[in-house]
Amino acid sequence: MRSRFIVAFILLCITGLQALRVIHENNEYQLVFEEFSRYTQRLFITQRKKDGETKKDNWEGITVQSILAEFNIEKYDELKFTSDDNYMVRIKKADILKHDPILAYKRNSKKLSTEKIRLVIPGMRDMFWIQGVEQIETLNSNKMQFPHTLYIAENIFSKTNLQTKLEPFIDVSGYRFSQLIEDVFPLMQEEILVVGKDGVQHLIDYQKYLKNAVLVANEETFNLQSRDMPAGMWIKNIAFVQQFDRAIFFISHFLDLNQIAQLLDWQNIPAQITIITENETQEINFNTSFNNDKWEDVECIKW
Amino acid sequence: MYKMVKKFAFFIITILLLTGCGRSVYIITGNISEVLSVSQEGILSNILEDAEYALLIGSDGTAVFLSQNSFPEITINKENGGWNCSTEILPPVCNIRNLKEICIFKPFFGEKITVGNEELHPFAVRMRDFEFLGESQKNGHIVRKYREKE
Repeated sequence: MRSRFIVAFILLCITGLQALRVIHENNEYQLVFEEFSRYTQRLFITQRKKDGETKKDNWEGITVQSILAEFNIEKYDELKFTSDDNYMVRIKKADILKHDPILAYKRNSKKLSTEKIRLVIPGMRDMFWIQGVEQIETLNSNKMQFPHTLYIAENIFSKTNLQTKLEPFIDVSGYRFSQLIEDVFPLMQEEILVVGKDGVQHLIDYQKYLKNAVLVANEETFNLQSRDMPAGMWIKNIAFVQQFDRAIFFISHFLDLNQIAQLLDWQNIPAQITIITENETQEINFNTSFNNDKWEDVECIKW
Repeated sequence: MYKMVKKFAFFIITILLLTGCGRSVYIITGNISEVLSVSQEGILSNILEDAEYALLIGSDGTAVFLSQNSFPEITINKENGGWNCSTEILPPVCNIRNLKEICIFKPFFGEKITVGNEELHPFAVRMRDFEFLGESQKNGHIVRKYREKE
């Protein structure tokens, strides 16, 4: 296997061939796209509905599992795929094993250019099928812990005026993402979990993707957009944001904390919670409905 | 004579600096109105009454980030002229020798510092001096280990 790396490295240096980077623990490997034919091949036929039409495609490619096997990679919880335009998706190990995704280099028998090499995962929504894959990184799951303190986004924003200039976006109003977190999150760096009302979740690096992000107002909800993120990663109807043991939720999306617990798959939820306002601290039931004026004054919720 | 006294004083100061004997305090920085020099021993939760998070920084640049619910489990003691953090409940990375600084976070801290095009609270600014190394967990407490960037 070592000789293969050396050959691949020499080929890269001499010919300038494009390669897929595979990062595992502290090691970085290169896989020249032209060598894909050496690995386990798989053919998929997919049918997707797009713009009212059913689109049928034949995809040919190498299995992601064969790439991992090449580098003896077995221990990981998630794979992070990054494209040349900065798009990023994370796929759990269970989904890799279940769906056996491929990096497709042929579509309907036509060879794709290296910039079009695509992750294809039948059984998962095509928003995960990123194009122009240039890096696969193994991650060991740091599943976000159960938060101990929650803030209400609408109450944070009630102290600030809605902004009508959110450059580079035009004719929109809302807030900068940093305005949401800057007073309550200790770390304005590293990864932040961002969750949409429909359950779409991304663990996103703050400085790379979120530092310049904006929350565009859309009636009573907000959409997360950033010039640093491909549009496919933008999150409609942002509902929940978490870092470390601290979170912020958009109360307009939920009827009570149970709905948030369901969305985030929280286990062992407490029976009682403490709500803190400027003037008082009160113990209430976890199931208390949000359809109550008391939530308007809540500074934070703790348990 | 004056020259001799001056030389002697310089010698003593150098020895104090080199041995660390001159360091009888650690400092508290971050989201507070002014930097505090502290020489208080005891349980961290008694030292940091209002803080919600703290970054404990050792003189070798090792640092640990922990939240308020872990504060009661860590003790700061003075030993041989230096300050040490010790705990049996929290992950071992919290046992920091030669503590030099505790940077604290309090929410809704009014003062902001401009860094590039960002407005950050002082705790976040100090955190930018560190790189994340990993997360440890013990007895339900999760802490994060950092290293000061060179």
